[in-house]
Amino acid sequence: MGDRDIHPADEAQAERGLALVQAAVAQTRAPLALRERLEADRERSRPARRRWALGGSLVGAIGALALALVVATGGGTAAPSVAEAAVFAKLAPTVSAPAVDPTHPGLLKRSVGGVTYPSWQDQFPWKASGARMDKVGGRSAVTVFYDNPAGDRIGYTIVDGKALGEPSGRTLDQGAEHYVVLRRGDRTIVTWRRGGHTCILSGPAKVPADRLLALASWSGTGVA
Amino acid sequence: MDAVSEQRLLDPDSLGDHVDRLYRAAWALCGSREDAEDLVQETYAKVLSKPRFLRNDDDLGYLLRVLRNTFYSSHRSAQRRPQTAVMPEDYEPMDTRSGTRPDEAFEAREVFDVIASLAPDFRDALVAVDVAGLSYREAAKLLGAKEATITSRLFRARGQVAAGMDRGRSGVLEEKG
Repeated sequence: MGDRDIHPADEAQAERGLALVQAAVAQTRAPLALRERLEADRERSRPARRRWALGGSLVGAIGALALALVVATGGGTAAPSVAEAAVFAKLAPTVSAPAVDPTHPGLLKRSVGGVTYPSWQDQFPWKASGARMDKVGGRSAVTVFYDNPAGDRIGYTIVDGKALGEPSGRTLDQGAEHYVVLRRGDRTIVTWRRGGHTCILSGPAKVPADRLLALASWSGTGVA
Repeated sequence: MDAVSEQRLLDPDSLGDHVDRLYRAAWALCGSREDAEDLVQETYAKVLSKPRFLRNDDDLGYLLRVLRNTFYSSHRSAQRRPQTAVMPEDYEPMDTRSGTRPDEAFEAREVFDVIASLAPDFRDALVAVDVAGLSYREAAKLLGAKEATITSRLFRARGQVAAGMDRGRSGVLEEKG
């Protein structure tokens, strides 16, 4: 459907339909009763899940093999790798973006282990657009997504707990900061440590590594 | 290495992160809040019944796929069963714990009713992108269609929602032909 085929009235109607759907979506949340039912189901399923973990089924055995392969190739749940944690930046946000901290406009109102996510929108064309919470190797990993006007999306993941092992890649020291740049598939990843935690900035290959480094090293808020 | 590392076990403890999106998608598919709750619960029960290994799919895309499959299989089963009595039109149970104002809840219900009444191709595209929040590419993968097709269906579906809200449900049904 080319733009020239779209009648302005149809376009206006489609936009109105989208606004109606967005409003309905924004005001609709799963009822508490449903959440309670799901939680009860999840609790009931725990013993069965423990059996799979012991390899009690064929699928469990295949899963164990897959996990063993991951460990053998540098991943694994016990000691997650940067590459594993960087995967979250490729997924969709599940919650709305944290708000900008009005008292510190260079920061968002979200942190992990004392490390606060930046708000770049006053300095760079990247605006926080969403977030998601995951677990990797039993640790919490929070990813905040940032979009630019061209429609590119990058993800900033902070993994809670002890810093992950440093991956091999191009290194860059800037002041007290030590950055590693690596490629995984179609993604460029920059990782560094802050406050004893691993921070990961991951974007599509079209976003240059230097751009990610500039964002990663930005300390306009006074945050080291 | 990438192919192996991207295969991962779906973490059952993270399923709660997606319940709002799945509930909205289920409501938009079913057109009924009660059926939507049952559909989400059935979906989660299926997912939890055995370990799930995901390759490339994100959690939400995978869950939405299971939800949609469950909806269509349940829908087919329901068509073969005798119909049960339905609540009167004016029966409006309130979930006092949802925090949504009654007037807002009423409008959302109308919108979801209209979405549920759309032709399946249009409805599914709209549910995947506008309701569940998948990208066009993810929606195309989920629905087995080209991205351009999703774009076209989405455009028409949005227009039909606006028309449906203006003219009532029968107006939308007329456009399906």
